[in-house]
Amino acid sequence: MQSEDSETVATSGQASSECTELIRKRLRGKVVASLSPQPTAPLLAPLLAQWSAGSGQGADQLACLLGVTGDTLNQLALMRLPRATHFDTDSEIIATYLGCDSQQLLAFLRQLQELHTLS
Amino acid sequence: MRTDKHQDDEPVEQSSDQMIALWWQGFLTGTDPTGFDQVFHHLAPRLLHHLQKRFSNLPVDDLEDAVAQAFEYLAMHPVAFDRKKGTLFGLLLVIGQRRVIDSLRHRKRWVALPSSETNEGKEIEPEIPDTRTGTEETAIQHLIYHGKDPLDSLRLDVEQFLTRLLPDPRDYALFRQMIDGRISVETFAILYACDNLPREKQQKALKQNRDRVFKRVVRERNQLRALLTSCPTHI
Repeated sequence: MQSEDSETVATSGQASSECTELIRKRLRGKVVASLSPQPTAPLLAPLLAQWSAGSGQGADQLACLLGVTGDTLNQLALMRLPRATHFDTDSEIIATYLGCDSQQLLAFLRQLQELHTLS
Repeated sequence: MRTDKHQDDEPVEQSSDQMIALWWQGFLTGTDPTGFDQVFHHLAPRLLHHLQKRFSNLPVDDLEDAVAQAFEYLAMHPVAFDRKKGTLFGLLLVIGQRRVIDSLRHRKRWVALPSSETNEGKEIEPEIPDTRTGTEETAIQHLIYHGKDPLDSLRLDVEQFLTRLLPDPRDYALFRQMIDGRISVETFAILYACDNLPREKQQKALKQNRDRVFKRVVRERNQLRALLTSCPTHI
C-alpha cells in the first residue's frame, strides 16, 4: 500500500514537472518571439532572426543545422553574445548549458558575431 | 553552469535570491552569457503561477503573454532592477500585473456592441450612473499621471506605491480603470468574478467597491504627492 502511494506521488510529481517544463517552453517561445524584432535587445534573439532572414532558413532548419531541438534554439536566443575577449570560453559555457556540440556552436556564433559587427 | 536545472520543477519553489542575483549580475556584466535564461528558467513559471493565483478568472494565455512581456521589458531595460529596492521577482511581478491590467483595459475598449437585432425597440442600457463630480477624482488623476496622457504607462514607483496601498490586484485594476475613464460593469464583473450575478447587483457591487478603493487612495494622497515631488524622474 505504502509503495503504491509513493509510486503515485512519484508519478504525480513527474507529471507536474513535465507540465512545468511544457509551460516553460511555451513561455520561452513567447519571450523569443517578442524579442526577435527588437535589434537593441542585448540577447541573441534579434541576431538569430536577422541570420534567418538573411540565409532564408527558418527556425526548424537552423535547429537541424545545429542538431538541437526547437526549445534549445529558443534557449540559445536568450543567451548573450559571447564577449569578444573571451569568445571561446563563453561559447563553451553556452554549449555546456545547452548540451550541444561546442565546435558547431562556436562556428555558428562566429557568424552571428560578424553579423553583429556589421549591423 | 546549469547546476540545478532539475531541482526546481515546482513553479512556486523559492529559488535562492542570491543565485538569481548572481545570474543577473553575470548577464549584466556579460560574464555569464547564460544568465538571462537562468533567471527566466527559475522565475518564469513562478511568475505565471502567481499571476494565475491573482487573476484566476482570466485565460491562461493572457497571463502567459503578460509573463513574456515582463521578461521582454526586463531584457530591454535591465537597469530597471535595483537590488536595494527589492528582488528581481518582485519587479517582474509588478510588471506582469501591469501588463495583465493593461490587457484588461484594452479589452474593455474593444467590447463588442450588442447586435442590432437584440437592440431593436429597446433603449441601450446606460452605464452605471456616474455621480462623480470630477473634482476629487480629477485631482487624483492629475496627481498620479502628472499631467501626462492617462493611457501612458504609469511610473514604476507610483505603481509600486499604489500596489502597496491596494494589495488586492482587483482593487488596483479597478482603481486604474476608474482614473483612466469610466469603468464598465462588464469589466468589473470579470475582474471580481461576479458575472453570474444579476446586473443590478453587479452595479451595486461596483459602486461599493469603487467608493471603498477611491477613499483609500484619497486618504494617502499627501504621501503620493510627496513621492511625486521628491523623485520626478520617469521610468
